[in-house]
This record gives sequence, C-alpha cells and structure tokens, in this order.
Amino acid sequence: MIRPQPLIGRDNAYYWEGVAKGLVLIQKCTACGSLRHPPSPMCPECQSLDWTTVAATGRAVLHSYTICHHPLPPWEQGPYAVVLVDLEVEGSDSGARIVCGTRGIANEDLRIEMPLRLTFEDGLVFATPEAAS
Amino acid sequence: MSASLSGKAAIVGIGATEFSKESGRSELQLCLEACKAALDDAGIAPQDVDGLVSFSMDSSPSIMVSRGLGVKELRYFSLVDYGGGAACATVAHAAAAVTAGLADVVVCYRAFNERSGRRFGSGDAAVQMRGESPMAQHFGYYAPYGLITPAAWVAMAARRYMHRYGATSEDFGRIAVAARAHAATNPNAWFYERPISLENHQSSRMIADPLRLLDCCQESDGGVALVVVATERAQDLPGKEVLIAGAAQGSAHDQHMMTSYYHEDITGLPEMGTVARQVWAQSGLGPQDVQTAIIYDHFTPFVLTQLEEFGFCGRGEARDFIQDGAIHLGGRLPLNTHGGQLGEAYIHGMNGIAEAVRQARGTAVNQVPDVRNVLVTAGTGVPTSGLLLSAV
Repeated sequence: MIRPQPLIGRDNAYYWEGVAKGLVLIQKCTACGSLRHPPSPMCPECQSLDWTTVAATGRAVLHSYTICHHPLPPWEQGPYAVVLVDLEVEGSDSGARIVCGTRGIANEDLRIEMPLRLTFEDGLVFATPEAAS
Repeated sequence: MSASLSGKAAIVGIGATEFSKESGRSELQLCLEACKAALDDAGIAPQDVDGLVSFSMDSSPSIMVSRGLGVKELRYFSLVDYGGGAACATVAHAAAAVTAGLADVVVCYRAFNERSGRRFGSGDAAVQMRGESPMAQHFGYYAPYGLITPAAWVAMAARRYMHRYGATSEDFGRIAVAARAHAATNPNAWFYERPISLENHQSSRMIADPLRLLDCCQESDGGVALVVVATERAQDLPGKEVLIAGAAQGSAHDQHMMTSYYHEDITGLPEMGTVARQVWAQSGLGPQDVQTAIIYDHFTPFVLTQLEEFGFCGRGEARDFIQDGAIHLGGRLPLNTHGGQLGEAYIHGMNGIAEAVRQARGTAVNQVPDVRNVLVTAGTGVPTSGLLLSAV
C-alpha cells in the first residue's frame, strides 16, 4: 500500500495544481468576494458559479492536530502528525483552513495557536515551524 | 407542535443476533435473524411487513430481506445515508411512513460483519477511495496525509475541544469507565464481567492522540432490527409498545463527512443541535424529563459534546456534568446502560435504540427506575439523527 494520491476532479483540480506548483490556492467568489474551502462549484453565500482563486501567503496558525499511532500506514515509519491550520490569505481578513502534514517539527512540540509556515513536497502540503523556512 | 409525528407511531418489537467478533454467517443471514426476532417480539407475522428501512451502508438489499421474510408486498423502502448517523433516522423514516399511511408495518435493520469482514477502523476504505465522486475527492484532502481512520477524524476535533474547555483525557475516560461498568452486568455485552478503571483507560495505548484505545468503540459482528407501527395498531398487539415522542435528522451548515473542520468553532456538533431542537419541540419535553439516555459512543469525546448540544449542561461543562458517578446507574443521568458501543457492541447505533426500548418497557438488565422518557442519538461527526422514546 503506497501513500494515496490526491483525487482530482473538475471541481478541485485548481487546488492540487496549485499545490504541485508550491501554492495553496483558495477559491474566491467573483460575485461576493467570499472565500471557501474545501472546493465547491457554488458559492454558499450568494450561489454564484463564478469564482477565481487567491493564494495563501504561507503563514499559518495551528488550529488543531492529532498524532496517529495506530494503524500505522506502510508509508509511515512511526507516529505521525496531521494538522488543521488556519491560513493567511492574500487580501483577505477571513483566511481559510486546511488539513496537511508536518515537516521539521517533533510531534510533542505541536501547540495549538503556534505559528507555522507552509512547505511543499511531492505534490502535498506540509506545515513546518515558522523559523525553519 | 403542529403536524408533529409525536406519539403517533411506536416501536413494538426489537430483535438482535448475538454480538461477536466473528459471526460465521453472512450479513444477510444476520439481518434476517434480527428481523425475525424483532417481529416475534412484536407478535407480528413476517408476511405482514410492508416497509423496510436501513442504512445506505448496509449490504442487505430490501428485496432480499423481503424475500427471506416472505413479505407479500413491500410498499415502503428507503435507505438513510451517512454511516451511523442513520440509526435513529431509520425509525424517523418508519414513523413518518406509518403516520402518513405509506406502510403499516416497517422493519428497520442494520447487520454486518464489521469485525470479521471490512473493519472501519483499518483506514483501508479512505485509502482505497478512487474516482470522480465528490465524496471520494473530499476524502482525498485527508488520505494522502494519513488522516484515514474514524478515530483520527474525531481526534482532530477532540484536541481543539480540550484546548478550548480544559477537558482532559481522564474526562473522556469517565465515559468509557461508565460504559464498561454497565457492560459488565449485561450478559449480552461483549465486555460482560470485564469492567475497567480510569487507570486502565489512562494506561491504554494511544490510537490517535488524544484518543486512547479505551476511548474507541469496539468492532463487532451482529445485527439489530426494530419494528415500527402506528400507535393505534400497536395497542392491538400483545407486547408493550414504546411511543416515538420525537424523531429527527440533522445536518449543519457547511457539513462534511467526519471532517466538519471548517466552522469557525469546531468544538460543537451543530448537526446534533439541529436534532435536539426538533426532538424537544416535537415532544414538548426537555432534558429535565429524561431519566436515561443512549448517547452514541463510537468515540468518547463526542459523548461530552452531545450532552452539551441537548442542553443537559452548558458548552464545555460536560466534563463537570459527568463527574461523581452522574452517568452511572444510580446517578442523575445513567448513560448507555447496555454498555454502549464501547461495552456491548458496535452495531452502528441500532443496539442503543433497542436498549432505549427496553428501558422504556422496564425490561432492561440494568434497569433505571421509573423511566418515562429515553433519549437516543445516532452517529456523530456525520449528518445524524435522534429519538425521544416514551413509556406508555
């Protein structure tokens, strides 16, 4: 069993294409300007089908996390963290939230509200300590 | 209260197989055994069934269940989505059907070999998802990072809940200790005569931090079925009916499957709040009217959250509410008196509805005195459902 790859369809291709280029893109409604994530073809605020994307700046704050011990997937060597992070988004006060992995931080050093930065590896997003990048 | 189904339908039969780790027979056979047992309990001939409701996750098609039971004509059949969130909703759909005259005798069922067959806790399902479906794409935001098990999906919310309200692993553990205490005196429970201490909980191995092994429900093989008829008809049957005083489903704004991580505040279960408001409004009752409750316990942290959503205590106060034996037999609100899914078996919430019926009938092995109303909830983290059952 290898690490599963993202599942890409018409509604979410922009997200994974962005990640492949080292960007987290967040969907922005062209009509009302609200941000949304995960992707959806329709704006929940105004039902517009017209949207564009804005990039996350790379600055993030840890909202929550879990350390997965069991079952250990074959592509992991030991307990690993999965994090939920609040992202700063260009030109937005509201930001967005995503799930990603971690790099360069020990599981036991994770603290809710700690500042993090996004980093990219193998077509996926990871959070890393602010000073590390 | 206008046009409410409150009191118009009743559960008149409950049936189950044994609860095991390897049933040794097909899921369809488990289903039929449970349905036949429930109909026997109700005193209704299988041929008289004209409605079937189950989970969209269930593998037994209504036509094969119908064939096995020798049903003459099936007039109502539906499947409810979203895993264990469907449990109480099967009864809600059945109650709506018999109240509206779409069927006279509806059997709700759920049967699986969840331990000896496909284990939900393995993570395989999330890893193996493929294709263009929106749900597969949704789990694709998590699976590449290894967020693949129900325990881990719940752990993410539980960690934030601890941060916000100061709840601890020991608070979660108290839910497990109560469940296992109740299972210990229930001969049908897998963990019969095997109670645990809080120390056992605290020393159990980590599964998805902050969730330990003893925060996680079992994986089980087995089946449970329930028979629903209109209250008028129930009165002509030999058994003791239990009235459906409230029955509701709920899905929240910006709802996701096990991963509603995008609300500003992820420490609640707003979909259960939707259920709670409807159940209290339909029945005209409130938390003070409930003598015992079956609160869905796939993972302990969401039991606390559900107590808050139903108004048994304020936000973040469940950890205080459950102290000092409050949720044990003899406490102010005994929870999961059959042992819950932590202690009796994990039959996707359907065994909890059966226990609520026994409590309202006065026939539970761990009977709470003078039960008038029992609250039951279905799976959490998903679009869900709830029931308020009343003794006649």
